[in-house]
Amino acid sequence: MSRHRHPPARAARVAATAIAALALLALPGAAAAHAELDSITPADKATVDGPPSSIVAVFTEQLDPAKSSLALVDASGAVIAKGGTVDPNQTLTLNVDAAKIAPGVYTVRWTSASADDGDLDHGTTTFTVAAAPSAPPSAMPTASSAGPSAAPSLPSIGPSPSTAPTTPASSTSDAVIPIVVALIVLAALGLWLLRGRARAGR
Amino acid sequence: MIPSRRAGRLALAVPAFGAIGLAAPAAVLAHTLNNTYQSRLPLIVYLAGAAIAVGLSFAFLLIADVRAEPPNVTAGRVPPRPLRWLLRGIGLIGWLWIVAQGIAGGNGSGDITTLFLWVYGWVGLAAVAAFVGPAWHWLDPFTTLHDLGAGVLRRLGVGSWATAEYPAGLGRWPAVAGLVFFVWLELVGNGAGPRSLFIVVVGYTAFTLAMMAQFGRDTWRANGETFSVWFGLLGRLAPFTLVGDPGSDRVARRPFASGLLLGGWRIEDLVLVGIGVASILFDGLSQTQPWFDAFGAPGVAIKTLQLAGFAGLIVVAALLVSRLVGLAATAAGLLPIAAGYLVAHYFTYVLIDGQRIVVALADPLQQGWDIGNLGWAFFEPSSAWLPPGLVWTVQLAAVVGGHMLGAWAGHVVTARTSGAARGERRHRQLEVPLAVIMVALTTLTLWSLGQALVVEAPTNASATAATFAVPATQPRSITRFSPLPLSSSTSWSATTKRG
Repeated sequence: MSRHRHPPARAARVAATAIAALALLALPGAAAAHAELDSITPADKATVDGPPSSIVAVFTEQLDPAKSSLALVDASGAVIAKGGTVDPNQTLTLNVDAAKIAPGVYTVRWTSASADDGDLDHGTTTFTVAAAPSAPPSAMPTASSAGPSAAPSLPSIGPSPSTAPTTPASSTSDAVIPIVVALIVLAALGLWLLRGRARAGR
Repeated sequence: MIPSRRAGRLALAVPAFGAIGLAAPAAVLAHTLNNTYQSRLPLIVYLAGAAIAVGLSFAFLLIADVRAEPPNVTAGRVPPRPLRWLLRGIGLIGWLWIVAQGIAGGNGSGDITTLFLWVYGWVGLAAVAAFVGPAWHWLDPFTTLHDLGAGVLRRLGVGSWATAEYPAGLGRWPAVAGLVFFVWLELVGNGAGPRSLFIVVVGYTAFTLAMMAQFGRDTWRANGETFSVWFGLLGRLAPFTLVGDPGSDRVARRPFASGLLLGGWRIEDLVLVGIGVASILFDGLSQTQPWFDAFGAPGVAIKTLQLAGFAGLIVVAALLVSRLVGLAATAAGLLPIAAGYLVAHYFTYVLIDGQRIVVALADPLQQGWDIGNLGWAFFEPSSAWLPPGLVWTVQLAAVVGGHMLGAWAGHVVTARTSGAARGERRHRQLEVPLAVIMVALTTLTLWSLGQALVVEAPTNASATAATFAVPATQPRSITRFSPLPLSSSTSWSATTKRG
């Protein structure tokens, strides 16, 4: 290259270096770690006799106390209690005032942040407080793995046998109709184009 | 001479035909299944139908020897100031939000960098650029930052300096390099967390601002800034276009896709479009069972080589075709395909993963907040409302429509540039390679899309289930419609269970 081609070459080098630097920075980092819900008391979808005095959630990783929390929400969406304390056993405990808890359906919203990298995870569980005045308030035994569950309003999208459709009997007309429709439209388009050509050619 | 009105009419009619003709079967047969479209037609019928549609549209175009003239739009209006300021504001807020979240170090499903860079940006803004108009011209935060910076410097009494002359030899190659980088980041470097994406955004901003200062804002936008160049290229399709000098704010209306007929194609444009088509096709193919059987789940280095090889193949093929048919015809033929593929592969991504903005609003810095205690931070994107039959219909229409539009643009431009008289055979033969490639690409794309979505139903259910089921050996959950990186993997066909 002659001398006056110098500037482009330099600019290209600068650009290439910058892009290479960006590429290096963007190299895949460590996989994100989530502190997922291992178990929760009261368990998901459980019915408890009388109001619980605390919500206890155990996670699969140590938690970042600054970002992790539980919120107890009643059926109307009002937050009854929020916050919680983290202990080293990967556990988040939210004490609640039992007097505020009437019989009904409650939702627990859990937010976990991995102490490792701060990655957030969210989820909700529900439980029902039964109107059983005689029973003393008792915490349910810790249920095994409630699992990170979606809000009940969200339908599960996973393939499950119960949602498999009953396929109506196939009939040949199903296959014929679209083909006929497509052919008619094609033919119409072809005619239209050819007519336009004939007119223009005249 | 055929008036350009005709061009517009055709430009509309061709994809419209694709949409109508193909929507019919899917609408008739749509089974609203949870995650697959249970068609009673085998996938092969759709593939054959699509191939025939594209092939016949070539035949019709050649037989009728359709001609069209590029639109002549010169007048235009500057959009109202509030709209321009709104767009600029949105772009700047988006950029500031990315920076704020990156500095705060939060990371969760409301990750705004992924949302703005990939979901709304790479896919959403590209679709807006192709089907609406040059919104990016004002949304572009780099330009807004540049203008703000220039304003501040003026206030400080720093005079403006003469910008360096942009080296003509560089052309739009810097934008090509940028596109290569972002495509790689999207498809291969997608293990990169939001942290890395944040660094990329900041680094790219600094680089862009430096280049704008060096060569001038409008020069760099026209040649070097990847998003402006790429969206501008897609904007040849859009019904609204910028007119006048570079940097002009005037917008004019013109028939959809008529911008394809305008001159000014550069070889870099063809390379950009080739990479665009190749990357989307690669993304689709690399998620199919046969691809997985052949290559497994390769590491970064191998996948980089695969992507480079595949994109290189398509770009070289495009360049070879352009030697035969001409640069303008090839580029005009490929660009609608890129836009069609973009819609077909990624529109569910915007519709579903785009919902994560709700999470981001409730917890803007990803610190575990739930602003207003509305529970928005616990929102999970839902795909239940989106019938797979509709998804498949849109995909079919987008792919076939893109190819038919490409066939039209390729033909019209070839006819014009070859200077052949009406009905002359010369350019007809030229178009045969273009037609063959298009039919092949249509089939290949739809096949890859159909792998994850279309499940043949009735008679031989067990056999097809085995064919189409995603194997348990596949190491990742099926994020077929979330092909771009996301911090959390909930998506179209994955279950709602995370992790």
